[in-house]
Amino acid sequence: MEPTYSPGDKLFVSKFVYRFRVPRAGDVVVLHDPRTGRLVLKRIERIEGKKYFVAGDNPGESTDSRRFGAVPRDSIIGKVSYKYYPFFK
Amino acid sequence: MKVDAVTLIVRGETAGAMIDKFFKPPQVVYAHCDIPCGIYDPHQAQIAALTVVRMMDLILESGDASGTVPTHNIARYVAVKDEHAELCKHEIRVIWGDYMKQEHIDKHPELNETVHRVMQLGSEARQGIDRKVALELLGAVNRFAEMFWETKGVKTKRAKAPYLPEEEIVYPAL
Repeated sequence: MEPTYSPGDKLFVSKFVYRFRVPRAGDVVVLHDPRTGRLVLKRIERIEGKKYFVAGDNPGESTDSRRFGAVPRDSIIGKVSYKYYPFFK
Repeated sequence: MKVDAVTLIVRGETAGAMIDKFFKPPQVVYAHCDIPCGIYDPHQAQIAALTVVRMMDLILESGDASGTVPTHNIARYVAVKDEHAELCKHEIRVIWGDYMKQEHIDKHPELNETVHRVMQLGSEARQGIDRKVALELLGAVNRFAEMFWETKGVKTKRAKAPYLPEEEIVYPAL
């Protein structure tokens, strides 16, 4: 997710914001990789019907919906709300 | 204070933070895919292509020699030529199929054609002993290597390999 986030960054992820609104394009979210279940960090690029097409901010190095397809709503666990470390960057 | 939130660390080196003391240990989340992304380098394909050239040279140097010993040796050269032509095709296919993304293909319009040529020339190099074909294979692999390093933002240079067949290959200028 370079340059937005780098290895070692610590983030707050809100699990309740999506109780008040639906995920939308531009949101950086934590979701389950549909192939492995592993938690990954991507940005929602667009909504396709009831699914979300996610992409990494570093497309040359990112494995994302271009490879594993748009993901359903229940694979998204929350939205990044704040980066608390490093504070200045 | 009840906080309905999860703290995550983007995988990598971390330093302590006061905040961490108030929450459950942060969970690691992956922004980079790690495996399946692996280590990619066209060098093995280049070595395989050089080997194909070298084997052709050794076969052709044998000339019309007959008898048990030359026959045995030529059989080995052919076996190695076959093996390395296939290895060359394999290495290029893996980088093209596993590493290359659509935007790399968009930035390098000749990428797909170059890969196809490697496949065809690799097969042709197995079927005959035309050194020109082996050199064309090496040329296509070198072209692929240049495009590969460009996707990594690494400049390249060309230099003669310091061993027979001493043909030029593309090196990353690291």
